[in-house]
Amino acid sequence: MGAVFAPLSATVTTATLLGALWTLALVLANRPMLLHKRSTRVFLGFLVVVEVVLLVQGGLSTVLAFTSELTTDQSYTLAGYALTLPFIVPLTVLWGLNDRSRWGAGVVLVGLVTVPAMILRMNTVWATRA
Amino acid sequence: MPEPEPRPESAVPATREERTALATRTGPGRALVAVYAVFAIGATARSVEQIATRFSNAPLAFLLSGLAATVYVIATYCLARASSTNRRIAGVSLVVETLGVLVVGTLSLTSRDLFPEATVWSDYGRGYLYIPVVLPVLGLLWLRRTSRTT
Repeated sequence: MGAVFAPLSATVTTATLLGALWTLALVLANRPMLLHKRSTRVFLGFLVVVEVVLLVQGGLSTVLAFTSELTTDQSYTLAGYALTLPFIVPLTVLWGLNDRSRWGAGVVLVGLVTVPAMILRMNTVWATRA
Repeated sequence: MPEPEPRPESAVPATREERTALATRTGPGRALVAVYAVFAIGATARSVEQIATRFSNAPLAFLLSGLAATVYVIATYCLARASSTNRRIAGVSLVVETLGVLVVGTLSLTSRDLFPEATVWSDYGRGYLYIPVVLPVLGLLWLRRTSRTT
């Protein structure tokens, strides 16, 4: 099962960074994320796919955390990150859509940058397993 | 041509305090609160894990991690609520945060034996892309700006 950890991490990291670039472009271009816009709905569809991958990764990583050769601290750290990650995108999207200025996209940008940062930390924990 | 920036909320606040609160927690303020929320969750989780599992390894560092986490939680809540009392508390917590990151950052570089393990504020927040040293400054500037514009 460990073999799927790296590809999933790479997929989510790439997808969230692409999403982060899009939201950064929205902020810079002064384009708010509004639900009646087609571009917003397409982007939210993309984020739903990202969320599904995050949920799969969260489940697999939690199983890996407690079945691999990790110390107790490492297991709980890895599981903590894995179980927190799926909440970030939905929460920032819901909160961001509440702000009808371009800074709603800024809130989503924060979430989409946080996800790869946490995955990087998960990879560090995974790489240093006993 | 870029569209004009829509009003953040449709209802116009009646009082000056409500207008200031609304200005503080919307627009760039909302993104600022989002960053603070991420730091509040991250620093709290890290601090709980450090104190619960290996407190005796670096008591000072881990207590300061706990302080940093507390400051981030208070700042997040107060910037998100943004009443006049909340703004004052946020201002104080941002000043504490600025002093904390400067003092701990300097001590972690000059007296490494005091910090056998890193805190959020070690090396001026280098482990977090120096965001911990920039964030309180942005927060204070935002509080100042929103108090002027309303």
